[in-house]
Amino acid sequence: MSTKSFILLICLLACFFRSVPSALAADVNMSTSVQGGINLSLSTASLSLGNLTPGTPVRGSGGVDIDVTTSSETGYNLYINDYVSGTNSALLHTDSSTRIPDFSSLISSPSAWVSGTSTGLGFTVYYAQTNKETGQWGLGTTYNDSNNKYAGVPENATKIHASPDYKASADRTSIAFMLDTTNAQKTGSYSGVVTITATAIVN
Amino acid sequence: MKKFLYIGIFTLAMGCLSLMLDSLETQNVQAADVTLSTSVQEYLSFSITSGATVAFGALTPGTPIAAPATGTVASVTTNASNGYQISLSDGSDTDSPLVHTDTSTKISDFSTASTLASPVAWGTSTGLGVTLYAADTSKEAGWGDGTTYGDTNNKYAKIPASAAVGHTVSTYKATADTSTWAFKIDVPNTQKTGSYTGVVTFTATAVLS
Repeated sequence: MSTKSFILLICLLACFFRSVPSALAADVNMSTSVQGGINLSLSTASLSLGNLTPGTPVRGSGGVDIDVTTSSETGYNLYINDYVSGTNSALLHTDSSTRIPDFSSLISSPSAWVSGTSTGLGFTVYYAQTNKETGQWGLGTTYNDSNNKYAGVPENATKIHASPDYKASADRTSIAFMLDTTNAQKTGSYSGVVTITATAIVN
Repeated sequence: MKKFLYIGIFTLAMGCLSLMLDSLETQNVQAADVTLSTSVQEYLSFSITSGATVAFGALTPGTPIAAPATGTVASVTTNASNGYQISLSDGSDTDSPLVHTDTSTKISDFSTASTLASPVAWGTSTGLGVTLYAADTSKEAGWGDGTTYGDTNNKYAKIPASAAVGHTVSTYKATADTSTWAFKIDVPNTQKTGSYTGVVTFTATAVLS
């Protein structure tokens, strides 16, 4: 290579490298993850089950509607608990020590209420806008339907209903309570709190 | 130096992510309470489980007879939060319910000074009297220290015309609660011979407040 050619090559390379920065492009990949919020509201925060004569069950004048709004693309789960250990229900006498027992069936296997025989505080899921678990809670459709199946309210939050998939608006589940006692249950006023929890399913 | 800077930024980013996830978790759970209430009403079951028929046998005036040997056992099952009361009555304030077969002659009540609230020792009294000699719960001291149907430490009362309280249980009982009663009878020499029968009524009342 002659000296002239070498100088020309150097000049071309210099031009090339000087022009590279002005021709480079770069992509910016953008992404976001819309987070899910959840809101739960009850049709009533207080439910009077009425005066109870042992042997004649009571359930108040209706159920409790649970409306859940969530943007979760995979839906939500509902849970229930009463923070009361063992076989006792939330219902506590004004003497601060006497309780009404739980209905004996578990949420995993609710059972029909046998009037005059079944005792304790039980609840049922009698309606669900999305996928009511009829195999679990029975075929009842109203709060006082004899086809409802009941379970005691556990101490710790336990799933009672799963509502999969995204919903654009509020999704309703309705529960009802049933109560009877033995003849030996102390007379007087009882009250207590049951907690309903909705948890958005986040994958 | 640059390497340490990157590590620092990465650590900070992980910290932010952790905070974001905590916050996200909180947003995805909502809970609400339902307050339940009820009022359990009264239940009461009452029966005379023993000694519903009291046969004194042949009575020689001046020799009192106590009966029944088993006692008359009043059994009460109630859920009443304040217990229950047992009352007695026989339809007459002066005579006992024991009526002769002539349908008019009666044996008198025990000492007129006695009441179910203030029984007295038998002494040499005549008439028909009643005593409470045992109770599962709170036997009243007024009935004396007797523990059997014929105990000389028992104290007796006449049975009033209208129901009056003879025994009070003031607390809730989860199971059946019993009180055991006995009767005693004697008559003066002038009492007409023959057979006498009659009925004493026991009443159990739940105490609700």
